[in-house]
Amino acid sequence: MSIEVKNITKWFGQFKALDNVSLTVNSGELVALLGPSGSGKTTLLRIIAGLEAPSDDEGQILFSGADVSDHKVGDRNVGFVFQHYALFRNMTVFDNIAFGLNVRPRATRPTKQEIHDKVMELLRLIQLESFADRYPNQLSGGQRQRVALARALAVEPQILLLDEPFGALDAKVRVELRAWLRRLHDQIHLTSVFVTHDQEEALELADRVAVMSNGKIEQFDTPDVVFHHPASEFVMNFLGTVNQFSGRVSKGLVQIGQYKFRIPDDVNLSESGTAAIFVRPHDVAISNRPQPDKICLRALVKNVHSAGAHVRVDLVTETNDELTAELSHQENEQLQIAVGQSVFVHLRNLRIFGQASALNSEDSV
Amino acid sequence: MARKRRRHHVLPGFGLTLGFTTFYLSVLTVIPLALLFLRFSGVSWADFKETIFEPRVLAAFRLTFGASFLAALTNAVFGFLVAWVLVRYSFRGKRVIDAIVDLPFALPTAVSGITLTALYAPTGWIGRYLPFEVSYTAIGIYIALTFIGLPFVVRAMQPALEEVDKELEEVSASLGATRWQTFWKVIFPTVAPSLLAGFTMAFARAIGEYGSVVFIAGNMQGKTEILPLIIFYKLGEHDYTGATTVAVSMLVASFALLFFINMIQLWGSRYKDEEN
Amino acid sequence: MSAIDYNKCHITFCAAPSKKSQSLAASKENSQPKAQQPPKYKSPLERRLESTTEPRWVRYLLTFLALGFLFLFLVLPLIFVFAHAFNAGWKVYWAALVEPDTLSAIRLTLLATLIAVPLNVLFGICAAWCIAKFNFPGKGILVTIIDLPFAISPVIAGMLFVFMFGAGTFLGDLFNSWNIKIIFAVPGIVIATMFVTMPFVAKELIPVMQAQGSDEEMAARVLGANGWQMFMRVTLPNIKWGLLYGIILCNARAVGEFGAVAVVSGQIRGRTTTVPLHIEQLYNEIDPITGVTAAFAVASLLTMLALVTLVLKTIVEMKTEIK
Repeated sequence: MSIEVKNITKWFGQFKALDNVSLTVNSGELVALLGPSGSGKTTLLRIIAGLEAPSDDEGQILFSGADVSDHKVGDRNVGFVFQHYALFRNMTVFDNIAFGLNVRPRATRPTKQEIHDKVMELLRLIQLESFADRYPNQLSGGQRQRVALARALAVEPQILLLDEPFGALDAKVRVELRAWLRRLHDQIHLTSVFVTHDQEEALELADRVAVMSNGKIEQFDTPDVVFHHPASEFVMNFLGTVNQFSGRVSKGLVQIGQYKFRIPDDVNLSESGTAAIFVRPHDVAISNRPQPDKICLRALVKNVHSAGAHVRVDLVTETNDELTAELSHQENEQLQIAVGQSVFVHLRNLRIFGQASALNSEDSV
Repeated sequence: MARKRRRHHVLPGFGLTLGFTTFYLSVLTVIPLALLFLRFSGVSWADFKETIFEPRVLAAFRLTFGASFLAALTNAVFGFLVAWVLVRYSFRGKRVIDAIVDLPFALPTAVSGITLTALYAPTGWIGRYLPFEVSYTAIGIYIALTFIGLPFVVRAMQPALEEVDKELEEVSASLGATRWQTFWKVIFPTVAPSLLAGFTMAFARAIGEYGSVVFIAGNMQGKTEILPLIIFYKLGEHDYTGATTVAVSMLVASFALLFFINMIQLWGSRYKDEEN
Repeated sequence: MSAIDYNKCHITFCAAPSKKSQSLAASKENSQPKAQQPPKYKSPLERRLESTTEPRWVRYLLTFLALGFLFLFLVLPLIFVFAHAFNAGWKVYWAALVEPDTLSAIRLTLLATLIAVPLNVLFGICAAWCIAKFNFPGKGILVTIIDLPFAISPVIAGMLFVFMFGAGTFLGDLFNSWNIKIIFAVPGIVIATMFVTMPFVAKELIPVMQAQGSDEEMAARVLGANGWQMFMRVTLPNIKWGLLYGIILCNARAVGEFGAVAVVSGQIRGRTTTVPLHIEQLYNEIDPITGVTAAFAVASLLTMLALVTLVLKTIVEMKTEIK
């Protein structure tokens, strides 16, 4: 079942949580809403669920093309999983999962045996068969989250919505449960949307990622595209570490120190002034001598951190910009970088952002 | 290694404050209570039986516990309702209403007593519209006990209702439960221990209540006499043995109720996270 | 020499994001601009979809029932006190208040309150200090004993002191030999009042002090403050609202106590009658009309005090909420 979100605006008092947001999730897709807190991602999820309504009449929610905007949450046939599980403390694991079936009107309620079978099947799916009679306070965080998921799945929803599903778990359980959820999704192919502020989680788990900021979707695309081709300064900054330095812009050229680069024709920048230029640490190449045919800036090594998967080198360039480079241990051994050493840096994949409409340049200079 | 060290406190005043506290409590509570129980230990079984099984005392027991139970039950219903409305809904003057709930705590019991009596008298503002007598009947006692017990239930329920996790209600709704089902299956079980605690406190208070009841009760022998009044009479007649017997029976009942409250609170927290 | 041919340079600018996200951005730009003003009220749909509240008619019905109950049980009696107090006019009202027996009852109530409340404040602070800041065996029992007066019927409370200080008891005879009367006299009234109001301040302060912890006090000690300085400059400012709250409740009960005082007072007019006891005497007077009116006149005084108590209590609650 596909989800279409159309022109949703949401106010909470004076605060605009969502600003005319539109989004389409294809059937069977696993989509992440990624953003910092206050970006509106949870509000969007709750509006899809029917726990909130948009603040004006222009907003619409369509499930498989059918308008469900005025359906209450109970009538939308969605499964909703909360960050803090929201398990019913006074019920056993079994009763928690059976809840959605037990509250159905008598006419559509399955028999006791059918409910029992269904719950046991779900307990197998979440690998907690022997925990049916436990109470939530006797479970670990990861187990609770799986019970919450099973409870949501028990009513056979057509859409699964998860609010920060791993937010309350510790790091190790989080990674395990993430992998498990991905496998589960591949198994049951339920259209799913989850909210997260953890970019690693979003990029690893989702088919597509909607990056949100200030109540707007900055970019909505596959993890690959949002990471390698960020559509805006915000997305660039939010996904991974980034070096930023300022250049002077004039007449289609941007200047860093004494070096000038051509700006792609359709990047819409003001005639002149300063502009922020971005480069990811792994796009900073270090060499001991200037490279022919490449622009290389002179830089001084300030610090070398080699404890970790990569070697991080802090540099100060001749233009007085601070720069962090990331290289492999192998490269580091070849170069023998030491603090205080003078090196040359070559910058790949520089990015500069103008107005949002002007980002589709394929030009390289 | 095994040398015993004198406990050293960084903060001053432990000995002084504990000493004063113990002294004060001893003089004001422990010794008087001990004297009462000492006196009770001297009461013979025959005297005890004679006092308790006197029809007038038996009737007072029935009336006191019966009216107190009904009043506490009424408060459990309306106190819950008032707490629900105060916590869940917003309306003009909520702050004032919330403050006024404590009126039975703040108003001297004698004032409540004469006011309720006059209000429910056959010519009173309320009494004139009622087809039955309230003042000087057991109903009057029930009304007075309901009045003084109301704040206990409301004040026990308010924090409990505030703590109910909205997400639980949302989950319930998302799973297709109606609002009524959500209330009975999700909200009510989580606040039930607080309701029971509030009920028990109102009940315990009602059993011992004197001032607000004696005016409206009419105090007809064997009909509308409450236990504290029996004690009062027995003291007046210098029947100290009888007074002691009735008082100790009441105290035991009250302490049993207090113990019960503590048990409820333990039971209510059984599903709480150990980590929290 | 510094000019480098930028056409040859190998630095690459970002490749563009895919067309899909572009179309999204474009559609966002193209749609008509939205009103930037927040709406004043929730839309009908927002109300309809609320899943954690009841339909409007249920809310109105429940609110109506709750307020109706409160009006009948609390507000109406409140209005009634004043209506009845003034139903014979201002002159009768005033006469009832300035009557010598009334004035002497007020004096006695004030005296009992002025002794009982400060003593219970001192006790409350001491009890809360040792219970909240230290661990010692028997703490649980101490807390239970502090709670006891709440669980004891006021009549039994009065009786306790009759048995302790009454005629024929050891202490009673001892004091009698010194010519001090306790039961059926002012000291008995003061002691009974102290007993029934004993827990209020301690009960408020213990949780406040426990929540506060001892870090600030320890810091004060380490910085060289003596015990008194530490208490006045660190502890007291932290507990002042809780203390005030306890005092307000303690005071209300001390002024209004009826059952316990009735047992120990002997009710000698003009000598051992407190205001609540005086109300009872007026209420039971031979002439029911003037007696009842006078009783309500005096009762209106206590009712005003109760209202002041509620207002102060609310103010203190608001102060602590803001914190």
